[in-house]
Amino acid sequence: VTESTSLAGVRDALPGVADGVESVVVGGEAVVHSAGRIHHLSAIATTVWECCDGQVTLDELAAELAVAFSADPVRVRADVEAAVAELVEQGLLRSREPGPPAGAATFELLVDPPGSCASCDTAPPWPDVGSFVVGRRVVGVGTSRDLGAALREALLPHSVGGDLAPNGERPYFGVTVAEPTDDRGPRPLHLLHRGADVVVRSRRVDRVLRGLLAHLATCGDLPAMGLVPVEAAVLVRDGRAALVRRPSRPVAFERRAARAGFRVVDAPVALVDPESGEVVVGAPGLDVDVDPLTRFADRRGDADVPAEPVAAPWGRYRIALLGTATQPGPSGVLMTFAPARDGLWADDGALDLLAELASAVPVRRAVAPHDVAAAWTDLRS
Amino acid sequence: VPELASAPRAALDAYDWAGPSTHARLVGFDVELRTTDRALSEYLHELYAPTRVDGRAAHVLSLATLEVDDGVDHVVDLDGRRVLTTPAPSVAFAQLLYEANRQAIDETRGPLLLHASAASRDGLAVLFPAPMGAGKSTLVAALVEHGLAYLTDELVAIDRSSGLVLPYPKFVSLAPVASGVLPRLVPAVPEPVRRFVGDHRLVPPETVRPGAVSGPAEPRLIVTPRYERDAPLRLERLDPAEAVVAIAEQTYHLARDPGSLEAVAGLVERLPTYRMVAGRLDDARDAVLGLLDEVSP
Repeated sequence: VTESTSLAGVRDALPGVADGVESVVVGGEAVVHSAGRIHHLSAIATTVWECCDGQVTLDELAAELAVAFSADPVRVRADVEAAVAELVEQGLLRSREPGPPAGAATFELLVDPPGSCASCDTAPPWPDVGSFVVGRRVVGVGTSRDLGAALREALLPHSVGGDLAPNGERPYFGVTVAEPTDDRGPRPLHLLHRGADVVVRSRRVDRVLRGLLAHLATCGDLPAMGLVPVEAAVLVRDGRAALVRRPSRPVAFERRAARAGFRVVDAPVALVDPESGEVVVGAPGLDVDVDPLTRFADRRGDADVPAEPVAAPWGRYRIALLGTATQPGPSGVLMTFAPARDGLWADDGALDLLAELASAVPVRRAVAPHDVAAAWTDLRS
Repeated sequence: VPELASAPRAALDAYDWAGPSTHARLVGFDVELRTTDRALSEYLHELYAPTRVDGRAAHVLSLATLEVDDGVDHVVDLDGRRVLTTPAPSVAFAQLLYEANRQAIDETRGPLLLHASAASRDGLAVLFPAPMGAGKSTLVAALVEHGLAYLTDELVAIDRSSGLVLPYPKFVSLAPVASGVLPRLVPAVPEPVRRFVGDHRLVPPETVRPGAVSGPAEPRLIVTPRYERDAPLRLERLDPAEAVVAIAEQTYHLARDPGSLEAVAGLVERLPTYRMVAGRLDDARDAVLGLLDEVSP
């Protein structure tokens, strides 16, 4: 029993039944439902329960029970107090702790990203975890200490402190910055993790950091920005974009895209502006000062690694083609890019947008980048 | 589940589905089941035969196969929203069945909803509320084979105004251990759909006994069964509070549907409720038949 729920000396009425709690009394015993749990109260607890109507005081109830059971009033009072405290702790009676003030904003703390696995649970903790408010969500990012400091500075308007996740939950994103080596082999890869998935990998840390910002942005309030998330991979060429089904093997896809003359977008969904028919590539909704991240990237010493001509620059790209993984036409578009029912982007308007796009943009059967390249050429001709 | 807008619905209707579509009424969930595999669509058509209705369904639940960069994916969608993507056809099929049942539970508004199997005799129903793995499907299959009428193996819906149990005559889904006890009930799975059906043992009620499906029935008896390997039969009548707890723990949407707890208490007031532990199916079946004789001679 915490101090705040202790009733010692309280002359106020006993707490009433908590919101959303339902009970029945059968055979002299109460059965109580609260938040999906069923509680079976003893006959004595049922007597207490039935008196917790927000009117009867502890002293009144204790005195009445002492008379009814011919028991020591002090002992009865202590028992009633303990029973009430237990009912409060179980959430069946109202707590005396103040709730959030009326009109207080609520935020969803993003934890347990898709792809989490046992190895995530046993991995060593991140040296630094920063929490950032993005739209109505709070997103944790695990990093090294120096990157954590740079990230907080870059995202100062969004930063709300360190690790806010309860029970040791892993942060939603994590960035592994590889240390330079003297090996003569390829330069090591820097990684952006979401749970157990590596969602961006590059030998240049600046690409991974841009990828992090883009991923963070997709956690934001996209409808408020007039953007609709579409479950698609984006291929960019000549200032225009093609949407295709997200690949199951992104590394191979990226390589094939480069061979076919396309750049890819490091984001989990395509952010589409339905008004303009464009894909927005970047970190919309984030107030970012890129200088701290640029300085961090410069210090890593991988500036001599040639810039990868793989990731599309941030900007807006008109959608020129929809590539379906099945028959073309509106139904093929719907089946290829069906929005997930659950998750971050559920019910964000993608279903209606897909129907509109299917009638406004050329649709071809195309899954792999070379399919898109062929369709692209066909469209130009 | 929100109703589909007309454009996405038209797109779904125009898709290249194969085989018959199955319009099923799963208590309060009105759904069309569609797949891109002809044999699987035919299999589903037969599997959901007792629940089939005519006309246009409010919802579309589908299983389709899509080309991906390194093979194919099987996707399960509800009204155009993706529920699952998997390379494994048996995982996709299992999700399709699960989703149909889950939506039957979630989309049925009004009746008291219990996680229970049920059978009837002469219009009087015996209900078996129990958690997964307790043997409620096996028990109801044995009773139906013995001549009782089939109401459901999963979801008991009790209409609050009439007090009747509404039939949800989906296929009986038998656990592997049950199909060892009742091997004669499990029909052979057509070869073309085995990759989808996998280890499921799905038994249409008409396979158990022709004409087995019950109409609405009046609840008369509640038994909470529990299978324990080699356990001798134990049958005990529950006191009212224990009975409410046992049934409330198997009641769906207690929070969503106010008054459900009172409705459970009302059931307990009217119906004798027993706890039954059994290790042999014959013992359990005979015990239930004996109780039925007592309450409805």
